[in-house]
Amino acid sequence: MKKKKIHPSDLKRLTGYLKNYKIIAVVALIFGIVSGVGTVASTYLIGLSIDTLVGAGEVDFTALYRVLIWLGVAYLVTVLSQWLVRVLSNQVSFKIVRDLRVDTFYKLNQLPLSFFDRTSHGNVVSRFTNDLESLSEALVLILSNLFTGVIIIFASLGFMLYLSPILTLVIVLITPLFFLVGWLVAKYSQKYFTKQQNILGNLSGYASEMITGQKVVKAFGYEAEMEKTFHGMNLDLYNWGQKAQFTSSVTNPASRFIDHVAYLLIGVVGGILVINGTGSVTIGTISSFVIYSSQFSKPFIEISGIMTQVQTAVAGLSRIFKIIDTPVEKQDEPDAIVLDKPQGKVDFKDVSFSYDPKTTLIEDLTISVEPGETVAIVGQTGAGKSTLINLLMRFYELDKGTIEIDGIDSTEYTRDSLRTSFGMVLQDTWLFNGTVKENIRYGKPDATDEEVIKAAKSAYAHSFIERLPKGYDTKLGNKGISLSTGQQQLLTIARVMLADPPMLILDEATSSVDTLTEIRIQTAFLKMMDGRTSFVIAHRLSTIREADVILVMDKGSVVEVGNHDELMKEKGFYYRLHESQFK
Amino acid sequence: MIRLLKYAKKNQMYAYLGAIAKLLEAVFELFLPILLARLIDKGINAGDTDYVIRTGGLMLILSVVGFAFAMVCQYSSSIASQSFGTELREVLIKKINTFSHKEIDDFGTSTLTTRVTNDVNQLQLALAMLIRLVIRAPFLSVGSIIMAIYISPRLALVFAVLLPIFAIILGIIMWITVPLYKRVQLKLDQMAQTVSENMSGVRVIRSFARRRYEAKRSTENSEQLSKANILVNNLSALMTPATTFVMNIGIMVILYIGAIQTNNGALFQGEVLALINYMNQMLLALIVVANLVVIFTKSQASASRINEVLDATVNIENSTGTYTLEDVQDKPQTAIRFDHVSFDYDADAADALSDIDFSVPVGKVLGITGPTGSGKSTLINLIPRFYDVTKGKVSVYDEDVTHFQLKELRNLIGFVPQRNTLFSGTIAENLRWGKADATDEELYDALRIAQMEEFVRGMPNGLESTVSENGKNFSGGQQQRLTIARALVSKPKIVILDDSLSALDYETDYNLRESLKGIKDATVIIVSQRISSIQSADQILVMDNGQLVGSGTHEALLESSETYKEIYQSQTDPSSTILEEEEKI
Repeated sequence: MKKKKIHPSDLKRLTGYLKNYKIIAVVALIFGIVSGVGTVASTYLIGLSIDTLVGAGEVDFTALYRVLIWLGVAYLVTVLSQWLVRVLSNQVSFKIVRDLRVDTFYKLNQLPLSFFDRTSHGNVVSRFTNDLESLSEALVLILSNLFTGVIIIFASLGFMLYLSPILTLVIVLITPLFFLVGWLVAKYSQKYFTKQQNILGNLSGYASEMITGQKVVKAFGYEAEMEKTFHGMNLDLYNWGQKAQFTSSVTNPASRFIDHVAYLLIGVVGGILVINGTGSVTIGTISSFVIYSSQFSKPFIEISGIMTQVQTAVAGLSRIFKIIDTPVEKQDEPDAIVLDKPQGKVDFKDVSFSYDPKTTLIEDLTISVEPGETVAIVGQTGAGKSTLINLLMRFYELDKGTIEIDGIDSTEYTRDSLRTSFGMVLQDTWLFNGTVKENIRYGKPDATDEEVIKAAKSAYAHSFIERLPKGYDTKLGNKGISLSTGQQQLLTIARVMLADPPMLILDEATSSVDTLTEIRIQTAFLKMMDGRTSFVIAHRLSTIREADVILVMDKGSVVEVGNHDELMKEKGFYYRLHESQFK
Repeated sequence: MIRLLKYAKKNQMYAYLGAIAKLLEAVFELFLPILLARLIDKGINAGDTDYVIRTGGLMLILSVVGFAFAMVCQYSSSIASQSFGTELREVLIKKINTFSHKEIDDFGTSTLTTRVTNDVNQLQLALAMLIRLVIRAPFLSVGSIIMAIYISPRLALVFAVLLPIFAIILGIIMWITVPLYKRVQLKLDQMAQTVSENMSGVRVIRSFARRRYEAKRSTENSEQLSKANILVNNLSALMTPATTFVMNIGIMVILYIGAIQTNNGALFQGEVLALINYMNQMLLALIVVANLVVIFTKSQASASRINEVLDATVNIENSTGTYTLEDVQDKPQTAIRFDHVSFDYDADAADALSDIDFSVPVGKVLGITGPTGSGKSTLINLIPRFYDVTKGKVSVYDEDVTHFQLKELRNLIGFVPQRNTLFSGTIAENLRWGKADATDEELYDALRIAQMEEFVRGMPNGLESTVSENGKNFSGGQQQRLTIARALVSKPKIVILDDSLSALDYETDYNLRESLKGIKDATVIIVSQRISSIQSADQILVMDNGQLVGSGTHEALLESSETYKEIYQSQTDPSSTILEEEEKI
């Protein structure tokens, strides 16, 4: 219920999307007008027909038949145009929302990594689902109701004025009450809603924490305590939720009450006018007027009813545009080179980088890696090891300096070709909802089953995959099977092994795998690394010792470079790190 | 949905009151058109201004009373529906608390949270709607017919014919659209999943240059969603025009017959008008009924998700066990015994454990090691009955674990899980999980054994220091030591550490194990991949592929177990020592 300022620019941009469906929208508008006119015309015709029923023996049947025929035509036209308006509005609204979805997703895919690292994922998902769904609902409502509503209001107003200016005045005076009620209710219920939302947030947080920690709750027999706390929050939620629900539900009966008052006022005022013979009001006038007035007020009731929905939608729209407006990754130059089968010479030249301009992280880093060399990166958490990889993959752009691959600045290559040249295994595994096979095949969609199995075997994943309920066709993720972290890591390793990239990046690739399996995979890795430039962040000394170059990082800068023997002789940082393990 | 209504019992009075109040409002509303007809026919036609004003006054009173009843209804329904939701949340949380690890794994924690919050909210809204409309709408349609009969029995026939036609139209549309609404929800869920995967997997997606593929996937998804939406909305948009059309025909028939009857003097002009109004009212009421059904079907999805939770059969039954610690304390020969135990997570899957047989005497230390996925964690999860065995028997203190009261059994065991789970609050609050009334001294005792005492004493707020969600404000090693201390506060007879020393450096690891041995009569089980952590245990089990492939002391196993020797060598070879261990502390 939070009031969001409507940015005219957002609405203007939305009309940009409307442009593609201009014709449908215009046709919908025309049918909207037709349906509005038809509705009011039928009401007028009913009035006319009632007027023919003056009393016993006085009914003008010829006039009645004529009116009835016209009434039939008016009804048919109204009903048909009503449906067409809805169908056309559905077309326009859902297609606009589809376009917005596609555009937003396309944009999302272009955003720099910093966006993903900083933004809550659930939040973005909710923009794609909740925000856009409420936008489509609101669009349908607006498109199908607005024009018809406006036409009905003006046409009814015209008829009412024609029938009796005095009675019209009564209605026009009452109409603002609808808005007053809506405004008052919104004002009071908002306070309760905010409170309710807060408590709901706390309760969700608590429930989520306890359900996530269920195993601990069980182990400690903490169930009763937890239920007590939950109960307290739940009661609180009840108190405020009930108030919020009640206050907000007043609008409906109140509007109906106002409507009833208008109804009886027409009867009374109209009656007095008829009896006194003022304003040429007849009984037929009153009958028609009753219908016109309810027709006149209906759009107002409806509009105040959809106002909240429209508000929500507009707020959602501006959140969507916020994603679309986030600056994207720098686009590839049109003459960008496709990096194909690189030799693997990598040079960092005076590279400087920081995530936050206030704190420098990497400064004037220069390293040269020859083709086929293995580079081990060693250092404590936060020393900047993963940052180096972010830069190598161009997930983040350098502040200064260049990284050259085969002697050419990596920014001159297309991003995709640069990235696919590296096979990357990260500590955080990523598997999507799909089968084991689909997940392994992700990096090489056209791989045969034999190739998949071969890769799984070299990653020592084959034997556990075989033991899954459906082997390679077992579904992972929601509604599928859940794997241990170690098993997930093996699958991501198999994925990279299948893709068979010319260079490798291994960031704690085996951190969750047991030592025995790790040693086995290591052999496979070593075989893969043979002849390929590899960057390895690892904690196992065997890997580090065999590396051609060891980069010892501390606080963002490379403090020592050399191979194992050289560094040991230096008796510096690396030496101390090494010795601390063997005391 | 209907089944869940039993949770609305507590405040069912309000539910009935709300429905009745709404009904009464409808009754008063029904009188308005007939009063207006009177006002016209008897007042205006007779030129009786007094009558007009009197009738107008009566209508005003009826409107006010109707409004009052409507407010009573809104108030009662807010109480009834909110308390229904409150009750439902409570029941759900209690049910989830009885789940064993298997059910929690099967559902997944995030969906359980959603069910407790979002799904319950949906049902709450549905109930409020139900109370408001369930009696009122049918009543208004039936009431309209009754009033029509009262005015003109013959013309009321038109109503009687139209009502079933309305019902059939609504029924057909609903029958077609309801499954389609479910399809829309499905497509929407898929959309959410695609976006979510693209968020979490951005590095992998870009490193494999699969952006175009992902964009294609999402475009297809959006396209399907929009198509599904357009289809279902076009169909349900038929509802109003179709019913209005039928009603309009009815109005024309009424006008025609009404004209004949008026001509014969059997009807008055105002009565014809009233009949038309009732016809309108009946239509509106029926459309409300239709919307009610739509709301209901939408909430049906939520209801079935909640029912799924409530219906889940809990594998661990507490009812049979009666034993407490006192019952078994006299015969403390064996702390833990596994009798040919087999276990599978899923009847279709291969055994996670097969034919495990061993026992641990009281006061001894048992080490368990083996590769990833060999069944180590599964094995120890059977002791506090996080899962129940498929075959065989697990005994604690020579008594089958199923004979214990579940709470008593788990009190007996200090369990430190693999994942460090700390809760937001203070250190003291976290530690008191095992024993709510533990004194500060007891807490410090536990911290001392866990090698965390100095650290906590050194913090400015000591035991009252804040712990953020998941303990994120502590390092991995500190979290591990806090979870160990938490398990020790209640002075358990059996301490189980499930790979809980992995983030500790060797020295702390050693000191911790030494001080564990100092606890009198405590039996300790240490699961670890690190041989040095279990090397000094009285007995070591070696697991592989769910089977026990070796058992004995460190020295004996080096002789007898190939797997053990291999694991040992992989770690003792100085070239493979873990270099980064230091930083994890």
